[in-house]
Amino acid sequence: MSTELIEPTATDPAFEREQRDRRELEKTWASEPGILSWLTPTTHHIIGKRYIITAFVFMLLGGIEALMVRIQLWRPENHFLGPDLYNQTFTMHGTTMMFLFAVPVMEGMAIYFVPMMIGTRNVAFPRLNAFAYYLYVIGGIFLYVGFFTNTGADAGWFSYVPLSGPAFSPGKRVDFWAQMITFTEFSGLISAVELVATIFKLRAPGMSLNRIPLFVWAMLVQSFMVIFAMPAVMIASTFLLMDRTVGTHFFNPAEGGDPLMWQHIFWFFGHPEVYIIFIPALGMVSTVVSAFTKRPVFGYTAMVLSLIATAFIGFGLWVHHMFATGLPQLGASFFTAASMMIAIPSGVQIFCWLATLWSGRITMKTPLLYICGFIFIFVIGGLTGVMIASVPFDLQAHDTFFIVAHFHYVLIGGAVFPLIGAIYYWYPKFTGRMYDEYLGKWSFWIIFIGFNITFFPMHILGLKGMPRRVYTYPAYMGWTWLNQLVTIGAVIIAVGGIIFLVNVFISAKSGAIAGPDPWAAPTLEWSISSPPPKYNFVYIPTVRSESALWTRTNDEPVITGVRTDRREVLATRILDAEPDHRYPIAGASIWPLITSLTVAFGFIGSVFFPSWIFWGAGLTVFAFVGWFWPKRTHNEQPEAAR
Amino acid sequence: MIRPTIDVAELPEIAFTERSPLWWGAIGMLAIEATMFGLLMSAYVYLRLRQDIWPPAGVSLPHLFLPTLNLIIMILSCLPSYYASEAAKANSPTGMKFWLLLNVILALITVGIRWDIWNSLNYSGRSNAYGSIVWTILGFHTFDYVAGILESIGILVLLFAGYAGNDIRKAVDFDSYTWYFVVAIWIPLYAVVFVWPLFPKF
Repeated sequence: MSTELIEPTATDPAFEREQRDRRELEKTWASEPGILSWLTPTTHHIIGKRYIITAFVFMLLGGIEALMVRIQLWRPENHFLGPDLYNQTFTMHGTTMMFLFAVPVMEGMAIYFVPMMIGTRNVAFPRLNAFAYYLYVIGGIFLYVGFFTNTGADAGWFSYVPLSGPAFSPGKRVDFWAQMITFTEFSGLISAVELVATIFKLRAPGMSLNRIPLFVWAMLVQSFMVIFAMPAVMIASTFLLMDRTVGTHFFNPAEGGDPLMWQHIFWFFGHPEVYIIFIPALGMVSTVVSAFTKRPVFGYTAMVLSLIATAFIGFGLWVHHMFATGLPQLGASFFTAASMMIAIPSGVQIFCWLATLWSGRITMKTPLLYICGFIFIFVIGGLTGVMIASVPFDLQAHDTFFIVAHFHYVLIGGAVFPLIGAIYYWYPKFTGRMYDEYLGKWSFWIIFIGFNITFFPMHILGLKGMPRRVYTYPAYMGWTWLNQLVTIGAVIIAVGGIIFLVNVFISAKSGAIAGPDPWAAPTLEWSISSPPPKYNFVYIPTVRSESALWTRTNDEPVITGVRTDRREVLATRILDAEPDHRYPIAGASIWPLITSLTVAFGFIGSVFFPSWIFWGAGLTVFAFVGWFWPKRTHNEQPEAAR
Repeated sequence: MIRPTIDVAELPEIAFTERSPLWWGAIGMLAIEATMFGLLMSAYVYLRLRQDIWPPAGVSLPHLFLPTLNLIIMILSCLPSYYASEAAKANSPTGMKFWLLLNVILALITVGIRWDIWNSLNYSGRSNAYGSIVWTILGFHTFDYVAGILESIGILVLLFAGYAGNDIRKAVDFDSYTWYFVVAIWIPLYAVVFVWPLFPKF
C-alpha cells in the first residue's frame, strides 16, 4: 500500500483518471442488453427494488383481504363472504402480511441500502441474491394461484394441527400454504447469510464494528435471528407436508406423534419472527431520528447492545403463545418472566431516541412524523404485551380480539410505521426526486388516526369476549357498533395508503430534483448521486466515525486499485475493517433464474406427487453445474495467499 | 483541495478461512443446517419423552457394528479432504486431484454401507412416529451427504479436465469444510438414532 496525493481540479491528471475510471465502471457494471436485462441482473439495486415492489404488491393484496374481512364483520349475521371464504381470506391476510410482505420488504430495504451504507459496490454473493428473490416471488405466486382457484389456505396463518392435518383439512389447501413456507423461508435464509457475509467482510476501510450505521447493525442482528429461527418453520412445514402427503405420523397421537409438537416448533420460529420484522424497523427509526435531529443517536453502544439483547431474549419467549395449552406452572412462569424482560431493551431504545430528540435540532418532516407515530403506537402495543405476558390475563384474552389488537399495534406500529417513514426518508435516493411534503403529512395523519380507530376498539371487543376468526356474530352480543367503528377505521387507513401511493407515483415523475444529499444526512449512501450509479462508488470511501459524512474532512483518503475492468470489491477485516484482499464478484447471470425454476419444479411438484422432490433435486444439480461452470482454465500465478 | 488515496492494487485476489467472504457464507449455511439437525434431534427427544415404550413394539434395532464402522470411515474421509484443502491453499493441482479422489472413494463406500443399513430396517416412515422421525433424520442427512459428494465429484471432474485457478481453489477449500460439517453433524445423529434406543430406561 502506498499513499499519494491527488489534486482533483479540472486540469490535473487525477481528475482525468477519475473520469476514466468512472467510464470504465459504467461499462463493467452495465446491464445486459434487451430482454436479458430483465432476466439476468444481479446488482443489489435492482434486486432490492424488486423485493420492495413485490412486497408492496403483496401488501396491497393483503390489505384488500383485510378490508374484505372488515366488510364481512360490518354487521351481525352478514353473508358477504360466507364461512369458507372467510376462513381463506383471514388466513391469506395473515400469511401474506407475515411471509410475503413484512420479512421480504425488510430484506429488500437491506439489500438496497446496506451495500451503499457500508461503502461497497454490491452484496457478497450477487447471484445467490437474485436466486433468493426468484424463490420468494415464485412462492408468493404459488400461494395466490391456490387462493384464486379455491385452494386458499384456510387454517390460520399458523396452521395448527390437528385442524391442518390430513384428517381435518383434506384437499390441497394446507399443502399450498406449507410449501409457500418452504419457498419464502429458503429465500429469507439465503438473504440472511448473504447480508452477514456482506456486513462482515465488505465494509469500507475504517468502518470498525463500533462505526457501523445502526440500520446495518439492525440488519446484522436480524440476519442472525433469521439463521437460527427460520429453519424451525421449514422443519415444521416439512413435517406437516409429509404427514399430509407421504403418511408419516409426526402429529398423529394414535401412532406416537404429538399435535403439541407443532406449536412448539412453529412458535420457536414464530416468536423470533416478530423480532425479525421489528429489529430492521428499529434500525430505520435510529437512522431517521439521527438525520432529522442533526446529531448522532444518543447511546450508540446501548442501542447496539439492546438490539442484541432483544435478539437473544426473543428466542426465549415462544411458549407464551401456548399458555392456554396447559403447560407446567414452572414453564409458564419462566416464559412470563422472559416476556416481561424483553420490555427492558425495548425501553432502553425508546429512551435513547427520546434523548436524541430532546437534545437535537428537530426538523419535523414526514419521515420523522412516522417515527413519532411509531413511538406512540408501539408503546401502547408494548404495554398490552406486558399485560398478556401474565398467564391469568392471557387465559382470559387468549384467541380474542384483544390479541388481534395487541399484535397489530406492535407489528404495524413497530414495523410498518418506521418502514413507511424510511421509504419517505430514502425516497430521494431511490428516485432522485423529492416526495410531496404536503401529501406526505396528510397521509401520515390519516393513517395514524385511521389506525387507532381501527385497532383500539379491538381491545374492548376482545375484553367483551369477541373471539378471533369467527366469520360472524349474533346481534345480541352487543359487538355491532364497535365492529362498525373498526371497519370505518380500516377504510380510513386505506384512504391514507392510497394517498401514500399517489405521492410515490406522482413524485417519481414531477417531484423536485433531490440532489445527492437533501437531508444533509450522515451515512455513506448520501455521498453518491441519486439514484445511485450501479457501482455505487467510483472510489471506495474510508470512514472515521459512525456518522461518516458529518465527520468527513478533505484529507480523508479514498481507495484506489480495486479493478474497474471487472466487477470487484474490497474485502476488509472483520473487526477493524483494514483492507485485506480484492474480491471479484459475479456479474449478470441467467443461472439464478433457471435454478430457481428447477427448485420450484421440485417443491411445487411434490405437493401433488411427493417423489417429484427428487426430480427437482436432479434438475437442480444440472442447474448448479451451469451456475458454477468456471470461466478460466489457466493456472494463475501462485500467490502468497496465507 | 487535496485528497489522499490508499492504493490496494497489490493486495491478493484470494484469501482463505475467516478472511474470505465465501467462508462466512459457508458458516452461515452450515449454521442453518446445524439448526435444522438440532431441531430434528429435539423433535426426536420430544417424541421419545412422551412414550413409555421406545422404540415401539415391532421395531427391531439394527446391530451397532455397521453404523459404527461407517462412522469411523466417515471420520477418516475428512483427512484426505483436509489435505485437498491444504493443496488448494498451496495451489497444487496434483495434490487437489489425489486427495479429493481419495475422499470421494471413501465417501462412496460409506454411502454403500448406509444403503445396506437402511435396507435392513424393518419399519418405514409410515409405520409410526418413531419411524417417521428416524427416516426423516436419515433422509435429511443422506440428502446433505450425497449433495456434498456430488459437489466433490463435480470439482474433481473439472480438475481432471484441466481447469485451474482461483475459482477451483476456493471450491476445493469450500468443499473440505462443508465436508467436515456433514460428517461432524452425523456423530450426534448417529448417537441419537442408533445408540440411544439401546437404553430403554433413558
